[in-house]
Amino acid sequence: MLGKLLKYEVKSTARIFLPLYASLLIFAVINNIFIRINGENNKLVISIISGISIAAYVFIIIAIFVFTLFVMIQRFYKNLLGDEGYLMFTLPVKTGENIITKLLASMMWVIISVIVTLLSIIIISYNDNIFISILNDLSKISLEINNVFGISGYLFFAEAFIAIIMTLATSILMVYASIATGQMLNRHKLLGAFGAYLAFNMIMQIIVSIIVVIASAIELNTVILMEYKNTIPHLIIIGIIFFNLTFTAIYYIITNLILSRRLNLE
Amino acid sequence: MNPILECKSLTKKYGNTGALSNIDLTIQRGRIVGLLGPNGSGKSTLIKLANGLLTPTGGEILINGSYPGIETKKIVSYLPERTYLNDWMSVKEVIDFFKDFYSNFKPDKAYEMLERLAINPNDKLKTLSKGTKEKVQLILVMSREADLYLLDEPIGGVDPAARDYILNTIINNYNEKAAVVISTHLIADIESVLDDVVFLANGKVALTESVDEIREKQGKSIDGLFREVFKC
Amino acid sequence: MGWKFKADRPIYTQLVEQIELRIVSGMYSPGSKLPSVRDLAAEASVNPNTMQKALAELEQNGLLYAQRTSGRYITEDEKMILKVKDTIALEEIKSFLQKMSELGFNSQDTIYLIESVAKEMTK
Repeated sequence: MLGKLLKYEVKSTARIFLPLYASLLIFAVINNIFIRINGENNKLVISIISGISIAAYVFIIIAIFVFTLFVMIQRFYKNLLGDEGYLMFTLPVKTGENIITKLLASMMWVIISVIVTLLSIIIISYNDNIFISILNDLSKISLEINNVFGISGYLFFAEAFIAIIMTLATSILMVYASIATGQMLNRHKLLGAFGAYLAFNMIMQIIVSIIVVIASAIELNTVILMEYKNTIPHLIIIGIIFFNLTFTAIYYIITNLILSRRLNLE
Repeated sequence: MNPILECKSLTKKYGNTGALSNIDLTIQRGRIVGLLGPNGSGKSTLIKLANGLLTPTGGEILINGSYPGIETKKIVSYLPERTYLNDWMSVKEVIDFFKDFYSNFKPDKAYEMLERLAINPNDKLKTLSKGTKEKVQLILVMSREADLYLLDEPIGGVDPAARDYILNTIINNYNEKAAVVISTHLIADIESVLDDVVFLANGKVALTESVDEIREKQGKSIDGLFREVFKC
Repeated sequence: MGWKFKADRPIYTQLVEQIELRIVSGMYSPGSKLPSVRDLAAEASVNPNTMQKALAELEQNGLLYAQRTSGRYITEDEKMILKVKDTIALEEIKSFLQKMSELGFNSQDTIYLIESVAKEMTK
C-alpha cells in the first residue's frame, strides 16, 4: 500500500515541480548562451536581455525552494487534514503509511531540487573541461580533509550526506508533528500548529545546549585529546546523525499517535 | 449472523460537550436504515466513528465484530457530506485510484453508471459542477461491493431527477449481505426506500423502529412523526 | 399505471393493493411472469424487503405462486382473479356510497347522478 500511496503522492506533486525544473534548466541553457555572446559582444541590448534572463533564472531557483517548502507543508495539511482527509483516512492503509508517504515524497523533492539546481549551475558554467575540473576540485578537498582530520575525505562526504538527510527528516517530521498537534484543537488549529512548532524548537534547543554543556564539561586530558583529534569531527557528525535519528523517531511517533487516536477532521 | 454495525454504550465527548451519549444500536445486514435527526444530534459523529475517523470516549463501536481499522475499512464504503476527491484528477484517474486501493471496487459498474448519467470519464474533476461531482462520488461509493454503506446526506444538493436516480441506484444495489445507512434530513423523499429508522436527538437514540410499524401504529409517515418528535 | 403511495399507511399494504389492481385489470396477465423483486422495487422506488413482504402476502392469498428457480408468476385461476376484482370493486362502491350519504345524498339520488355522469362520459 505504501508504494501505491507514494505513486499518487508523486503524481500529485510532480505537476508543480516538473515544469519548474524544466524552466530552470531551459534558462540555464539560455544563460550559458548569453554568457558566451556577452563575452564576444558588448551591445547594450544584449546585456539587458541577458541581465533579465539571469534574474529570471535566480527567481526560478528561489521559486523552486519556496515551493518545496510550501508543498511539503501544504500536502500534509490539505491532503491529510482537509476535505481530502476523508478519503485518505478511510482507505484501508495504516496511518503510519500515510505519514511516511508524505515524508518520503517531501524529502525526494528537496533532494531532486538540489540536484536540479546543481545541474543548472553546471549547465551555466559549462565548458569543455568542466567535469574534469569538478573531479579535480573534489579530490583536492578530499585530500585536505584527510590532511587536517586524518580521515578519508569520501567517507566524510558520505557521513555528511547521511547527517544532512537525517536533519532533513527531523525538520520535516517536526513540522508534521506540529500540524498534528494543532489539529487536535477545535479552533485556531493553525495557531496551535505554530505554537507546537515553537515549543518543539525550544525543547530541541534546550537539549542541544545540555549536550554541549555536558560535552564541554567532560575534562579531556589534552594528551588524549591530541591523539584522538582526528576522530572528533567524525564523532560530531555521527553524534548529529544519532541525535536526528532519535528526534525523527520521536516526531514520527508523536504524529502517528495523534493521527491514529486523536484525529479531528472538521 | 454478526450484525454489521453495533454500538455498545458508545459515547463521544469533545471536551465537556457531549456529541453522543451511551448509544446502543444494532444494524443487521440486508437492511436499509435511515439515520435521522436535527443538526447537531450526532449523526455525522456516529458515522465518523464507524469509519475510524474519530475515536470513542467511552463504550465501543464494532463493524462486523471488529473495531474500526484497516480490515473494517475494506468492507465499509463511505460517502461523506463533502467533496473529498483530488481536484486535479480526471474521473478515470479517480476510478483507477479506487481500483488500486479497494479490491472490491468494480470499475465496470462505475463506468456503466457514468455513461447512464452522461458523465465523461476524461473530464477533470475541477471542471465538473458541484452536483456532478457529488454524483461521481456516489457512483464510486456504490461501485464497491461493501458490507456496509454509510451515506451522509446523499441527496442533499441534487436536483429531483438525480435524486430519483440515486434512490434507484441504492435499491438496485441492494443485496442481503450488505446494510445501507442513510443519514439525511430529507426524510419524505427517502421514506419508501427505508426498512428501519433511527432517530437521534441530543446525542441519544430517541427511537428505533421499522418504517411499516411506525406507519401502522402511529398512522402517520416518518416525516410526520419526525416533525412531531422534534417540534421546535 | 404508476405507483402512488400515501405517506401515512404502511407501504407494503399499499403495494399489495396496487399489485392486485394490476392483476385484476389485466395489466399483469394470468400466468405471466412477474419481474424480479429487485426490478419491481426499483420500478416502484421502494425498499426491496418491503416489496418482498408484499409479494409474500400475495403468494399467501394465492394471487401469486412461486416456481423455485424461475421466480414468481400470476395465478392462472381466473375465477380467483374475478373474485378479487369484485371484492375491490365492492369496497370502492361501499366507500363511495358512504361518502355520498355523508354529503346528504340518498341512494336513489346517487344512482341517478351516476347514470347522468356515465352518459356524459360516453359522449
